[in-house]
Amino acid sequence: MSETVDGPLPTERAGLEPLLSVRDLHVHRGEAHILQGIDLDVAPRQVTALLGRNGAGKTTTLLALLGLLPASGEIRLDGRQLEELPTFKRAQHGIAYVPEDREVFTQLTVAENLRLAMQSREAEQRLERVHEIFPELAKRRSQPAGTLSGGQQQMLALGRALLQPASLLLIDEPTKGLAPIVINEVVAALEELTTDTTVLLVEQNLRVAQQLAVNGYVLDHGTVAWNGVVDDLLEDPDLTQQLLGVAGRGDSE
Amino acid sequence: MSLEVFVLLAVTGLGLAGLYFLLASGLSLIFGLMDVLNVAHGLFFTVGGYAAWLVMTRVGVASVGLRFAIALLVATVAGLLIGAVVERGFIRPLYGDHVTQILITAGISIAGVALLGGWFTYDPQTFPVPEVFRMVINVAGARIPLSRLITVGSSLVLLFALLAFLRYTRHGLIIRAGVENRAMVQALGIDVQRSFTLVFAIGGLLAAIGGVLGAVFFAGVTPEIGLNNLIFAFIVVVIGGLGSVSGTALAAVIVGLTQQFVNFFAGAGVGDLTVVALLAITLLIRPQGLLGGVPR
Repeated sequence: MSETVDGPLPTERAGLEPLLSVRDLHVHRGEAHILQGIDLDVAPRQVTALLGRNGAGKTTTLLALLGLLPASGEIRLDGRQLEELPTFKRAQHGIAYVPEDREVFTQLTVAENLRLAMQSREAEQRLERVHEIFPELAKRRSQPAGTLSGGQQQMLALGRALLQPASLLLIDEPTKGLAPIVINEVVAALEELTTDTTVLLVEQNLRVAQQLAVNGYVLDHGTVAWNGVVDDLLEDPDLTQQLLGVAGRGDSE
Repeated sequence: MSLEVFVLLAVTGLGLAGLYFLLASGLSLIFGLMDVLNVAHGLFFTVGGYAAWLVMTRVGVASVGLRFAIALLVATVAGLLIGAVVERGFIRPLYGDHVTQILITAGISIAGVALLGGWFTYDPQTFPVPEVFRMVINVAGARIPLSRLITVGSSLVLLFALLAFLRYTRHGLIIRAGVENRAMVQALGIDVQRSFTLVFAIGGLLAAIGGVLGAVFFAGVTPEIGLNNLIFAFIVVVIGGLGSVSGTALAAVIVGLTQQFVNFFAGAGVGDLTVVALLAITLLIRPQGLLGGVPR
């Protein structure tokens, strides 16, 4: 159980059945106890933000959910237990991942990157939608992904995730390292695609988090330090300062 | 140097390069995809050579050409099987434990050499080859054994076949992606372990065909023929760039030619040392290899 928060989770308060529910998630790395019992629920068809200072355990949480790090605890997606499954099966059961550093396959072309993620007939239709949202990807289909700009690589990483039959998107810092104008583009795309998708979003840029997310969690030293409505958090400068170490809404990166 | 010596050395060096490529390409893909240094890879080469020798000397088909075709087929299947069996039987159960994986492939290699030596002695075994391998043609005044050119040509065909497989099939796409970022391939819902058996089988197949050609090239097969060439194959893999098939081909040509020319002009053995020096220079200047990706 999380030690700092005993109140109900946001989905419980709203009476929503969560799409993803995580209980008592622990991760050890060598001697370090990185995640110390995380509980979190992600409500369907909305964006849930995962916030916190550097090193709080946000990326570790996503990797543990994917099975890319050894972890203990309970992970339920749409009623199905995932914690015993290998990574590829978790993905097949509906988790798609957009990693922090995009992790597109740089030696493969844009088209090959997308083709790799397409494993069913329905993916063909989804490809059309991806090309609608990111016309740049259609234009640059035969270009090696390593030669794309950071923003274009982010679009490819998002597009690739959208091709999977995913019910939950794990998105890690989609705006990290991007120029402000590119951030706007990426955020606009995220807004469009998150209207009907469930997302767990790690984001350092609080303005972006607020724009996209309804509910949120703040991690601190591997535990949940706060959960609730993101607007409430960011409108309280003292709380924001205390939990995230920044002055408040808007002016953080 | 006279032109004919040059041509002879070049063709021989390229033949050697072809053999190195057949041995090194599988090694490179296996290491690139799985981080497994497969010391047993030389044994795959040796098994190909012995399969050919057994068929050529024990199968009662009168036509040498037909027998050689059968030998090639048997060696191919044997290589494919031994590759798959080593991966399934020994590598997979130790998944994630790289040190033990390397040790076990070394064990398989030693046991294989001893077994073959026990069964067939350590003497070189020769076998009759089709007429075409014994023909000699004139190139720029040099008398070139056609077998050298056949080795070069076969290696080229297999190089292009491998490149086409990697480029135009879904399995190839998964292997290329997996060489770059295995975790992300899994996160896309792809069972990357299925590709592990495949690359071992492909590696075994290529090495075994190399073994057949090698038995002809070196005029006989011994239990250590694979192991003797494996050290140069390792060097080729590192110079070419781990996981890069084109890099492996390029490095094989560089190593094969260097070895031949330096051994001829500076004395036997100096070429081998020069190749090791090339390895050291590569590691200093370009540690990811000639065509390797970003160092990980």
